Amino acid sequence: MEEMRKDITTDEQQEYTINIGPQHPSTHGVMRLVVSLNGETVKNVEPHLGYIHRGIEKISESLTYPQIIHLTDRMDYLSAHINNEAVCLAVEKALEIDVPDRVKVIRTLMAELTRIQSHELFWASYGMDLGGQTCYFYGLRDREMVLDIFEETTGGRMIVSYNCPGGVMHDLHPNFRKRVKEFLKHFRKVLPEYDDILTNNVIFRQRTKGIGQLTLKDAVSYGVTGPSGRASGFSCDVRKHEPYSAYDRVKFNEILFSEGDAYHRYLARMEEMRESMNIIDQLIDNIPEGPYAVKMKPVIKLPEGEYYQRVETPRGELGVFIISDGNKTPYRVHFRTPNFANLSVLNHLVKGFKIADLISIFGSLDFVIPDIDR
Amino acid sequence: MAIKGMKYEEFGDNESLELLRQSGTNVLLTTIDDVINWGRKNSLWPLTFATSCCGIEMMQTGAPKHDFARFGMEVYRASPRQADVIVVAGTIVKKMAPVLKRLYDQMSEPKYVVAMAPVLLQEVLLPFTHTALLRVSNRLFLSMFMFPDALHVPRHYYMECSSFSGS
Amino acid sequence: MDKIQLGEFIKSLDSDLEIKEGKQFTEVTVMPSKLHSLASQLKEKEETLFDFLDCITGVDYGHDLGVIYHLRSTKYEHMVVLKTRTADRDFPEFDSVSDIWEAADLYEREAFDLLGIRFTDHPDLRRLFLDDSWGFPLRKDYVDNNIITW
Repeated sequence: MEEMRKDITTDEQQEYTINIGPQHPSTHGVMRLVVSLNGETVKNVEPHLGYIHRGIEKISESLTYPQIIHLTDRMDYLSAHINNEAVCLAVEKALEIDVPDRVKVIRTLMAELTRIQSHELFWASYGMDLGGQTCYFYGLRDREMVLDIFEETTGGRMIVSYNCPGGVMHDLHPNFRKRVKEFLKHFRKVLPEYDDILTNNVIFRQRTKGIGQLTLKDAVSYGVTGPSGRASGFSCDVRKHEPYSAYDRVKFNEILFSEGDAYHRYLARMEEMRESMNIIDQLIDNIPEGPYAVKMKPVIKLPEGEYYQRVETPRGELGVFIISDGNKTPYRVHFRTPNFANLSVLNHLVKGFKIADLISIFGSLDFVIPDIDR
Repeated sequence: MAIKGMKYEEFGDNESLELLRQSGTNVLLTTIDDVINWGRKNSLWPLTFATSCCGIEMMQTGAPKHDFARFGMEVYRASPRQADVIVVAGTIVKKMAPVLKRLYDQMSEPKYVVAMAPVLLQEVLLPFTHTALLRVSNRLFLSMFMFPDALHVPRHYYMECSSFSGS
Repeated sequence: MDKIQLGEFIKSLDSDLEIKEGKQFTEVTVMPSKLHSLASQLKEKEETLFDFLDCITGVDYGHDLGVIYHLRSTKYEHMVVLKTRTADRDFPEFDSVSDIWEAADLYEREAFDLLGIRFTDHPDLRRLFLDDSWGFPLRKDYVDNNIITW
């Protein structure tokens, strides 16, 4: 008996590998994480991708430029307007077209509304991942108002394809201004409720403060942009550094923190929602009159060369790189998606934390998996 | 943001209600089979299977405005063993297909499949791809109920589910 | 530094380079053997300080296979495009820059997966999206029997 007892020591840690499989109940998409654990502490996380790889870059080589816009909708579907805008801006830059002021303001308004609804979904799903189901219901309730605004003007709730090279597909609906103002009034009242539920919640703070700290040097080296990078102090907002559309005529702050933990990544997104509302306030009453699109040729051919355009999506910096050989279809299209770059830092952040913290860190980095796989 | 109620005619369970009203009591005599079928019909629990954009619309269907708990789809089950219907929301690529088949096999009878995105049933959007998107209907599932064309808009999703539970 | 000064400075680092003023950025074409040393110089030199790797794109030029690096400096906010190519289509190999910029890790795996370009000294070069039996889809001579063409 004594010999048997000596074999079983309580200090012996067990190392094993578990699989957080492609189908999991959080909302991020289909990704497989192979986690090596030592007891309950994570030693290594290896993401396995490709479960939603649709070959968008390859398909784009056989589609014309207006058709590529429909595919970019489905990459990071929560920032569909901004993805479309990126391709349109790249094409307009190549053809050296100047779009009318009205188009720039419309694009900025739609982009900021997209940013608000994307951060609302982040709030809803982050709360749900950590166990608070209330957040799911509150967040999605308010997101419906934004989706209704989109549907009235563009016809689609989430997959919009509203931008096109030269302008937008059709003019704004007459109710647009009234509905946006109603939404802003309602949301400003409701945002303190969000703070009460999560931000000031003691359980939430304990699960996110000090978890997954990302230093500024690592953020730059791993290429982490967006609110995740700005929470570590990396000033990377494309709207400030390389303004496009109407961002050069609005005043807004770039939200920067220095702690870089999951709590501050969350806070950065909450503050960004407030900044987006300020931007919309500045623009909604002064939408300039004018045409909503520039007349383009029926077949768009870009001159030979390489074009790179960056925009700021709710998750980070999206880059569209087009190599054109003069035909109506591009020679090569590459999308520098923010989630792909943000994924590389996951393994580095998670080492040494418990498996429940893995869910917290994964949620705070706010991934959308089809953007990684394209 | 007023939420409109359903019209009486659109609610699919009117016979039992009418029967109760006519008799004036709250007792019904029926067979066990009927009761079990009535229970199964009105409380289909879906499995969370959100692949891409349609998944978010599926989540919105569970949200307060288009609440689907009022149809009995009370909760999303994370585990296939506790789910009745698998709503395939989003594109299925060749690498994902064995996972979907395994989830389907793990569900217990009776089980149903709803294909939510039109891209699953026809090679409409993405035919030129090297990932060989699958036609869910032909190649994966042998026997199941399929309801095509439930586009990723909650009200269409309802129309399909309500017509389905009426059968 | 603006485009022209940047071009001149980089030319002074190595006279074999081809510098071209593109419409947007300075484009530097480098031989594959000198890629790693030029990349680390671009990151470390005080005048350039390219510490942010925007993206790595693999391209199939028809006869050659190439890689394009977009580099940016967070301090000076200038960008440069680094290009390199090889005519070897069967075993294309370049030096990995993942020890200079950590972000390069996943980008290089993607280039290997979709185009077959190998990177020496990469910590873990495996296929990323597809499995080992697929060919290399983004190559121009890729043939797939499952693709439907109308």
